[in-house]
Amino acid sequence: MTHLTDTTLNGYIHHTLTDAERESIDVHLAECTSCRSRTQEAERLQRHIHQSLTAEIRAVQPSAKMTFTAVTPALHRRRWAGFQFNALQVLSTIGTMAVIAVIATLAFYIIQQRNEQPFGSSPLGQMRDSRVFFGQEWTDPTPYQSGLIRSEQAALDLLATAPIYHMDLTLSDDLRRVNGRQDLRFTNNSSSGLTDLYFHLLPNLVNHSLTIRGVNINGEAVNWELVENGRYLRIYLPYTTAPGEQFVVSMDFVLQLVGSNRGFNGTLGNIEDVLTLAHFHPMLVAMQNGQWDLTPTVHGLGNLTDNSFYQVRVNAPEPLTILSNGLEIRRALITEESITRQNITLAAGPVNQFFLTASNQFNTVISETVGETTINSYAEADYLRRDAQTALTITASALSVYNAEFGTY
Amino acid sequence: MKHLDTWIERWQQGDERAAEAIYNAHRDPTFRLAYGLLANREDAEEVAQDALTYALVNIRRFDPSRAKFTTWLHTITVSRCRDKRRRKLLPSFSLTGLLQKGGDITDYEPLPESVTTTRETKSQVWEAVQRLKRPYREAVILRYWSGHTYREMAEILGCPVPTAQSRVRLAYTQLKTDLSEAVLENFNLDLIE
Repeated sequence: MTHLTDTTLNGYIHHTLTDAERESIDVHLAECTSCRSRTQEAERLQRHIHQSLTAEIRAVQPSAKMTFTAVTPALHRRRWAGFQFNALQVLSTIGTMAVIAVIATLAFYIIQQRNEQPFGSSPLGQMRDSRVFFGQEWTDPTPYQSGLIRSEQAALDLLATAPIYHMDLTLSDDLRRVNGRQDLRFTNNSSSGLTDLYFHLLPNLVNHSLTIRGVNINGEAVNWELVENGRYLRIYLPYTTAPGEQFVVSMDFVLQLVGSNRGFNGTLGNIEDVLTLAHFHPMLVAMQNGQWDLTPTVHGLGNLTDNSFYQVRVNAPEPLTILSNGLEIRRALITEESITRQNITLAAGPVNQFFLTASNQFNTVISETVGETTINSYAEADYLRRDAQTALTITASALSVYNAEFGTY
Repeated sequence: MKHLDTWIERWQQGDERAAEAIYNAHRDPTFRLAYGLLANREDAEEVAQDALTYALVNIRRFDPSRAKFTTWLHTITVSRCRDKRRRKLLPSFSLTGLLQKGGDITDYEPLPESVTTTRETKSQVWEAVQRLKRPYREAVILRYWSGHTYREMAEILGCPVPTAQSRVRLAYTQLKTDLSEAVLENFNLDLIE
């Protein structure tokens, strides 16, 4: 084996090489004096760094003010809902917000002097034009109309202020990976100024992997980080966002489903080639009284998000049956280099999440209509028809009861 | 750590004495981690107290079967340290592009006061570490001081394991260069005398 390069040596002393690489280096070191002495020198430097840091850090003590007693008031004030701020943090936040508010107000006036902005102006710059993404304006109700019964069309008024997601998803051939791009039209519906945004990254909570890239607001890159072991995405807003203000948050994400992990009672994973996607993308956290609702989820996942609208374009293998709580509003087949894929667009809203499932095994379909809703029950094969029928009967009965008690679903 | 698991369980059920035990066990290490990242005693104390408070207040969010408590606590601490530095150095810098190969990973921000005022007594290693840009400084402190595994570092820093590894390696290379230059400087001074 040839002598150690600097890179290899670096990897060796930091234990970032594979076992095989490490073993072969050990063999070489046993025979080569010069590499051995270089390695020892590097390890000496490592020890020096470690000892110096230790000496430096251990030399400092916290003051007598740092006590458990100082913490107890916060513990007593503790409620289920969200963050506890200590006085210092609140004061510094207010101070910073005051400065930012002044800058934002000035910027707002400057931008107002300019030409009419078709989508409204804000200190965060002109809102991204969604026509580039989906060929229509954010608040155009057309995609969602067929998903709502006639008496519920008034729900479309929510388009003015609800979160609206425009997503582009690509499903991998093995149905284990989703590459996504999402634009979210966000409105500050609280009565406070906001300095950050939080998104749920729920797949990370159940050992799948949801990674984020390229976060920007109205086209400008922003500071962001993952918090709580990847449970949340936290975005730092460049200016305090006033009540009523709107902007577009964009990001790319990759969801990799791990193993036969069933996450959330089988609603997120690939189980025997049936893909189920629930809470699979970065989802805006619900807001309660001007505060992000970051309470832990114990039973059920009901109050994670506020009611939202979704338009989702899915690029997927063909053939493949795709079912969703969104209504299919567009379908196309695209052939590239003799590979055909399907491209379908789904629209849903107002809903509190977007869900889809996909499989080549949804072969048998039986249906029943209750009120204005048609229920479809899918099964892999005819021998499962009875189970599908049972599921259908139960669902139909539940829906009848719902319609009788609460009004048409 | 068996005791810790019991304390956590008891505090999750509301026994405040268990909270105190958890606090006392982690008070100094949390402070020290924050100090390593911020190089300022008052800031470190504030951040550590804040992180410990948050962890204790939100203890029900912690699942001992899924993670180590110290990893969780360190994630919170690192996050608070980043907040702290960000607020002190407005306007904030971009987090993108820091890992570009060949890019400069030292920081030209003004050094925290504790480093500049007692320059003669602080070690060269400490100064060199504090000059590193945030991701690399974090990597060095978490690896060389706290002794975390790369997997833990990935969780704490919110990055993939290979990224954590490469940050440690790059930081080491930079420190090596920095420190050997410093040695050379002293050598020349001796000659001038």
